[in-house]
Amino acid sequence: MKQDKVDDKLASDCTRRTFLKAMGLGSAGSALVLSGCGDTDIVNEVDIEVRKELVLPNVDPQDFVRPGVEMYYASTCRQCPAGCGVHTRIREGRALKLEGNPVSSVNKGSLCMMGQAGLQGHYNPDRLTKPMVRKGGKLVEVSWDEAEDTLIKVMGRKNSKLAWLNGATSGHHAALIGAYLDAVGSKNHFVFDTLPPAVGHAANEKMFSNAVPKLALDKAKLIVSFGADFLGTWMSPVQFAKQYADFRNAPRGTLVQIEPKMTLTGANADRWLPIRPGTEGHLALALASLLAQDAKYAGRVSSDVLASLKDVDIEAVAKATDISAERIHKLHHLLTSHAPSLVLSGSSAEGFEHGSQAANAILLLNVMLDNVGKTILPREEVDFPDLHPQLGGWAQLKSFVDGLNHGDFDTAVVFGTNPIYQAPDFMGADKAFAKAKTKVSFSMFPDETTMASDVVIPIHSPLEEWNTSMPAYAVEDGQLNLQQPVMNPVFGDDSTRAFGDVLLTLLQNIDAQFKRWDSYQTYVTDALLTMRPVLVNPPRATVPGQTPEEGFKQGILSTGFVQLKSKKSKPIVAKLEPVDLPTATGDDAKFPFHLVPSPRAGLWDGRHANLPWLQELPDQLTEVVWDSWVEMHPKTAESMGLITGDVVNVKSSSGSLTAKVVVFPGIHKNTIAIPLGQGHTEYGRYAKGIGVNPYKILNAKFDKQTGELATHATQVAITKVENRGDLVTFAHGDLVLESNTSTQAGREIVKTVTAEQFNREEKEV
Amino acid sequence: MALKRMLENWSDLRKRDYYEDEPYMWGMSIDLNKCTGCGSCVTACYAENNLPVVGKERCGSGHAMHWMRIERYWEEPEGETDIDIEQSDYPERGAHYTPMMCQQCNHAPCEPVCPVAATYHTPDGLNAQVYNRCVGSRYCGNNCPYKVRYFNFFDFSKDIPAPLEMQLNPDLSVRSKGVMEKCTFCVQRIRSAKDKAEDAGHRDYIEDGAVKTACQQTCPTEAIVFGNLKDDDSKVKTLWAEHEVELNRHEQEKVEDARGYRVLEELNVEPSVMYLDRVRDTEA
Ligand code: SF4
Ligand code: SF4
Repeated sequence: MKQDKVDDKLASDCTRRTFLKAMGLGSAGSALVLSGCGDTDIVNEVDIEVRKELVLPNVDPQDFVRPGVEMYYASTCRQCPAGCGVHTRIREGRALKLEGNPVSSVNKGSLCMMGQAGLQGHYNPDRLTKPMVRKGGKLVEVSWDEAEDTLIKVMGRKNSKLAWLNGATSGHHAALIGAYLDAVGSKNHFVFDTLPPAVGHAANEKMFSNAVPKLALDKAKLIVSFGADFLGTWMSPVQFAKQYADFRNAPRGTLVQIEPKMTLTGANADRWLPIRPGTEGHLALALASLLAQDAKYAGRVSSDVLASLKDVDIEAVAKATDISAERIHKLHHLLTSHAPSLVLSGSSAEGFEHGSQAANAILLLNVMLDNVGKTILPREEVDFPDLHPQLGGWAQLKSFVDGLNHGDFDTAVVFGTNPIYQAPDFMGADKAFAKAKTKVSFSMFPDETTMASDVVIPIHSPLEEWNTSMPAYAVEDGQLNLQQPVMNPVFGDDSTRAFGDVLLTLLQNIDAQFKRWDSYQTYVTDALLTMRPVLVNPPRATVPGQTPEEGFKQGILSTGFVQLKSKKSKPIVAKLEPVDLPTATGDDAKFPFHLVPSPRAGLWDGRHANLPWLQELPDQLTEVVWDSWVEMHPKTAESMGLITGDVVNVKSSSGSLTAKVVVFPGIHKNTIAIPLGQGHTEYGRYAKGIGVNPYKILNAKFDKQTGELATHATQVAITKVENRGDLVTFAHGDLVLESNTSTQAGREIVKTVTAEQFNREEKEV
Repeated sequence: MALKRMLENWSDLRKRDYYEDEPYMWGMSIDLNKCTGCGSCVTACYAENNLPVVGKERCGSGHAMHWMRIERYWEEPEGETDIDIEQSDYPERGAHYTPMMCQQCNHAPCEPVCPVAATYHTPDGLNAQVYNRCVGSRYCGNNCPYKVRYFNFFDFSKDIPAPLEMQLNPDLSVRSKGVMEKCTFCVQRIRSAKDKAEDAGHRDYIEDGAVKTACQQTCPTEAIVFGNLKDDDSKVKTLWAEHEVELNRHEQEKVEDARGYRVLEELNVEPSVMYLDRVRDTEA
């Protein structure tokens, strides 16, 4: 395209604004730095043709192949929504190892096990390499030409009955998806991701006007966490682990974890308290009522809230929660003797019909303890809402399924999420999905939803594509992470394609203005160049002869992210509502056990079950590999005559499943836990056919306020099926089958000192 | 001849020092106050060192090849004052985690038993394993007090389906059936740092932090510190000194309040890995 033509197109501000919008740079209205009349037209500054050349093509073979010399490329981990920065080690054109990017504020040089295993997704032998179209009831591989024609037929036109479901997303994928849905005239956009704590976000939004406030774990002297597994699966585990390490420096912070099933965070607590599931809010309320006896704390909340704390009977709460009255008083004492503290609400407290109210009661403690402004901080304002993280939740999945059931949608598009695997049986997601006339899946792997689709588009791995994204939990507001292809596509040029490229081509068919970009790469680069004026310290040319654009691009690619300017926001003023919790109910005689579907750091919500390194990484708590299991307290197991390895049937009123028992001390006696991650019926050789998915048997219960699935509210009955099955667990390195025998046998392998001793010693050094 | 030389130089040979003139002595420190037992280090080790995945059944027969593993114990901590803890049916003080891998012993029990000297000590303090020399007697594994040597009972590399093999690290070999292997302190990273230092003109000095082991590099809590114990300014040496752990001392007197210790030190195997006590707030 010639420059003058571009100028013509950009003649009016209006056009300019639509272009900005198209690049996801539409403004929220407050900080109009890029659009409006009169400012320098950055878009016009550079010739588009020139710009194209300037995008450093890191897929240039000469750059990759310097025999024997390793190189590192900055990019972003996409294994979970946290968005840690990575450095990819490349030799002879192959990505060999991922390491943390030391300058990324999210992970400061570290990665979790899932980040490490990103390579096994990239090189996975079960990756989709050819587009597929359903013909005569079967998915058959077709050429890209045919796939593109089909795609244009089903997705390349105006269609208000098109429904779009994607996993947690942000950055330019989010922007382009938004642009696409606008172009086809569809309002049916749904976002579903399993683990982001949607109920907690809503509660935070309500109370603190910040859905994801900044948490300063490292500043707290005491953390009391109601089931927030921040070291394992909560929001941004690597970031929180970094903060945790600071928190544990002398003077050492104290961690109390209250949850029915011990999580990785619970395993590191100074005091782990098993609580009866569903009563977390009640305990929080009891603590609030004890605090309210002191005017210092009572003065921080309004009278109607105080009124709701009046008639809390500690003894009754002790009975309901299985936490003794004495322990409640001790907790109260801990809270009053440590300031600032931080009280967290996590998924095992929020997964009930009264989940929002429980979170409300828990967060209230922070207000009474004056933690707001100290360990709970407001987010700064960042413009470009189109680029912000969309985390979604179960409520949106439900709307998607409901819409399909009502016949509201004729075309269903799924990207980056796997509803047929995740959704409980009661939702009937598979049957609903089948109702759509055409189902399209953009996927790297043959997952359950993909295999039920009619058109399957094999997409690039995160290490093969250009992209931007924003961390789900940002440490520095406004961090926009970059991804660049670190090597040529693993399966060659005619196999997988970048999701962004496929979607852009489709968009070009509907909306001519997108023809301006010949690839997703130019689209992203153009957007980044346009954003320069609103970036903090945009890199400049460093080498003589380099143009400013070249310098900028080289700079951002070696950093791996850019930082958008943000605006300081006002301090948080908590808005409180009286807590309204139902009376805790006793046990159900027919279904005596509470079921905790527990996420694992590793397999996560099941998306990493196809990565053999993570299948073979023992579960941190039970040390089991390659399996699903039922965690049960030793006393409970004894009373039922069960030992580790026995096969049991777990039945809820919505379904049943069969798995092996692991006798495990870190679980409330009336509770069983089944880890998430297995139970795949598709998803390649490493995942398919292993274990069970506890989500499948959940009952149809939803949080009353947010409509999110009450993931922890299902009760189950257990019956023995047969004696010892083939369960494999490593306990203390030697292979033993009963985890309750795994003590150090007096060998002093892990020694322990008290915090008091520790603080004294550290002072001396 | 050899015997004669040995007798002649007896007092020299008996001198308890580790290669006095060698500029490097690699060591590690693992802080159990920070380690959360997450296992990221384990996966990083798989990625760096071409460790095979063996599958459920072989894990069950004890053939897993995890050079680094996380041990997890349930136990009452010492010094516990809270009676509730003892009476509780639950592990209210959480789990006891420790990463465990080859401790690179300086009096390594595995070395003298190897009939072909496939495992030997390097001057910079590594317990090395020569795969080409190993005949698979497995005596070394048998003699290892930490149970951190892993034997290739099968040709695991044959089971790697394409294109997963593209991930293999070309800096070290893919082991085949019949050889013993174990943690090397990421020797390939040490070699490459040495080469780089030499290219830059300093033979005997690698800057502290220039070699990071894969486990150290990824650890979210920075619980693992690795470096040169002969470099007085290195972080690892500082930590060893602060916590009063020393090589070349028969018995480490456990100094009161010092958190440093070496696992199974009483065996006098002189491990190169110092652990720092796990900590719990007994007031909580
Ligand atoms: S926390 Fe998430 S983004 Fe960070 S390394 Fe782990 S999987 Fe990747
Ligand atoms: S990565 Fe660090 S915190 Fe995690 S288990 Fe290993 S040493 Fe411990």
